[in-house]
Amino acid sequence: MPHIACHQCDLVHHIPPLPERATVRCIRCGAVLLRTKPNSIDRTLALLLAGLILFSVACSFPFLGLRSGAAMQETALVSGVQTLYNQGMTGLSMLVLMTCILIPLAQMLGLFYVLAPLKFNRTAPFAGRVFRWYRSLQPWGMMEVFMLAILIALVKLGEMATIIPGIALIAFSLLIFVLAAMLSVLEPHQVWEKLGGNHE
Amino acid sequence: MTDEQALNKQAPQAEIHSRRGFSIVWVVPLVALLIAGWLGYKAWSEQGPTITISFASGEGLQKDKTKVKYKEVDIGKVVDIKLSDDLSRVLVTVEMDQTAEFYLTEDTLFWVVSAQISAGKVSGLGTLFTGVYIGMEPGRSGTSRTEFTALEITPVLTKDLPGRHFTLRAEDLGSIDVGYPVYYRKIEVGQVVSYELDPVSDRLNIQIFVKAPFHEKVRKGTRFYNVSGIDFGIDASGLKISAESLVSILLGGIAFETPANIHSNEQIAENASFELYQNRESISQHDYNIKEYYLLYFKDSVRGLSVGAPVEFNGIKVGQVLDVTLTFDWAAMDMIIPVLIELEPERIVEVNTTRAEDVSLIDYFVERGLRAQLKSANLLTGQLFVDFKVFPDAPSGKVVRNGSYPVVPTMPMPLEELLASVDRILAKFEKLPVEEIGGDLKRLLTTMEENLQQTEVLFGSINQNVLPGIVQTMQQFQTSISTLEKSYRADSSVGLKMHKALDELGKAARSIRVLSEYLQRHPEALLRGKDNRE
Repeated sequence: MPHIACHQCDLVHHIPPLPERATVRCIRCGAVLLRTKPNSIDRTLALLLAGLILFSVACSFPFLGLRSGAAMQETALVSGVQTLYNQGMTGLSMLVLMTCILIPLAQMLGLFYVLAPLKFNRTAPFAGRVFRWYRSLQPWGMMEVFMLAILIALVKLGEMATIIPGIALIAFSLLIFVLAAMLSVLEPHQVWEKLGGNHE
Repeated sequence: MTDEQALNKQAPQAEIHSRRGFSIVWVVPLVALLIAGWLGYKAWSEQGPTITISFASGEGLQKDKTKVKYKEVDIGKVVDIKLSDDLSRVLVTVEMDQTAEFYLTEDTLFWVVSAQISAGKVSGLGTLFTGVYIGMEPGRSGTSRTEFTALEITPVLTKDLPGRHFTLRAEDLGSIDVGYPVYYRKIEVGQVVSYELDPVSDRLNIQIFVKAPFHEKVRKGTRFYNVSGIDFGIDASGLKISAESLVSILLGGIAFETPANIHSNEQIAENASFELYQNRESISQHDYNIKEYYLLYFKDSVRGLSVGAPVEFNGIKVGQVLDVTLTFDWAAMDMIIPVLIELEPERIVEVNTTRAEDVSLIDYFVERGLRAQLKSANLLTGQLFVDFKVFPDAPSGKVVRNGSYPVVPTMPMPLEELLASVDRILAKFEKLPVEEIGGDLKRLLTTMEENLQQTEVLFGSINQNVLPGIVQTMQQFQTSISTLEKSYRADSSVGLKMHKALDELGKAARSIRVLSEYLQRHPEALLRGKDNRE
């Protein structure tokens, strides 16, 4: 039977088999130790696949068009980064590239690498490390921030230019929602438990 | 492990359900996949043809940025720019929209649109901000193509506009350029589309476009003229300044108007040709600007034919004599006189023109017997002119076009013919046997004399033998006469009639005398009749 130490007060609890929807709290300080979610891995995997598809759409279609008078500027996610780089903003371009493209992609691929075998009750090599990396990369995925920046730009530029939202923009916003949903159905404790490890 | 056991005792084991099977959540990636698949398919199916356009210069063209536009609508994008193998051209690869595929034919035009200030208009200002773009004029016919050569200049697009194109022939371009305006009553009604040098005539063909409804103002007799700048003129009424518009003062343009004459109101077809006059004055001053030159070879005297003498056809002037020289032809060992004339074809108004363009009027008429002939314009001064006349009996001739000027066949002048026939009559007169006739007359006279002598002898014998009988008879006759006299008195009807008859005879004798006197003075009246002036 698994035991969990409270993050807050280090009290070790013995966790009995849990019902499908349950919240486990520390008996001493009341901190939430874990939540059980039905079908967590299945759902996560489904949303993850949807996310990967949306991500590829977001990367391959035009993102945003700006038209001011006769001038028309169209940009895609990758070409936007390229433009920033060409304009000398190397640091910013790298930051956008990392936080909005590479890290989310790495996260999704990593999670897929861990979860897909688990679905069929297998364990990929180094799945534990990959899952830990996934967890530690979490703060660096900033697609929401990017989205927010775009929304601000839309509002500010809306007066000066006509903004033509591209397919990628829609895909990107959907991706954010899908990833948020995925995070909410993902139960790391369950993954850790499935990965075993502590019984080896 | 006692702790664990203790814990196990404290907490009972819960029931664990593990649910397998299809979860509704898998619909989400499925939907995402469907949408992405549909988007991908759409993008793939909408991909149009990729074409290559060859430019003389790649100025302003940018990869992935420069658009191809038709009527300011994007229909393609530059995806690659590179130099041709021999470095002479810039090859631009363009991805076109699928909708444009149908219009990519042989006569599709491409050109670079950039900001331009020309013909009083500023165009393509937008390209200052967006960069240049490639303009396209869709092809209407021909086979489809994927490789094109761009135009060097922005064409004036008039294919779709209602109106008509016309060709103006000019000696020089003046200050006209593509896009320059065409005016009618000082309204801008069209523009210059293009111009080219006609290699045959060494003149310029200027294509213009007149938009509807003004194209109907262009009639058969319409005159186009250059309105560049300001016209100054000083005459008795003072200084005259005229200008078409401010734009034409600064730049130039073409105006047209239709002077009234017989055929000027006929409608005219697309692409008809007109002469472009230097200015408005020249329309009315020199009506005929087109000249055709021909040579006429005369063998007889051209005395009285001067430079400037008219060339007439059926009594209407169609041209004039330019040059007369005496030439000795060593091949024919004969003197000939080539006469250079100019014809002004514009003087001849052609109606119902259905003939083939390449048959000229003069060829047609010469074939039917047209000849050039010298004719006397004035018998007193002896001035000659060249008359074009169709001789239906003349053998079919031809305009010979192997020399510097085409040669029109000639006919000897009619006065010469007359003189020739007079000569013939005189020659016949000369052949008359006058001396023989004289001899005959002499013989006749001697015979008559002999006869008279015989008559004298006869009369002598009559005197002697017949007279006494006659005297007797006369006496009887006198008696009869006196009887007659009684009946034929002057107051009798017979006497009156006799008197009248004698009067008439007297009158006749007088008029014969008058006639003979008149004839003495005017013997030529026998030929010409009496001159009424006297």
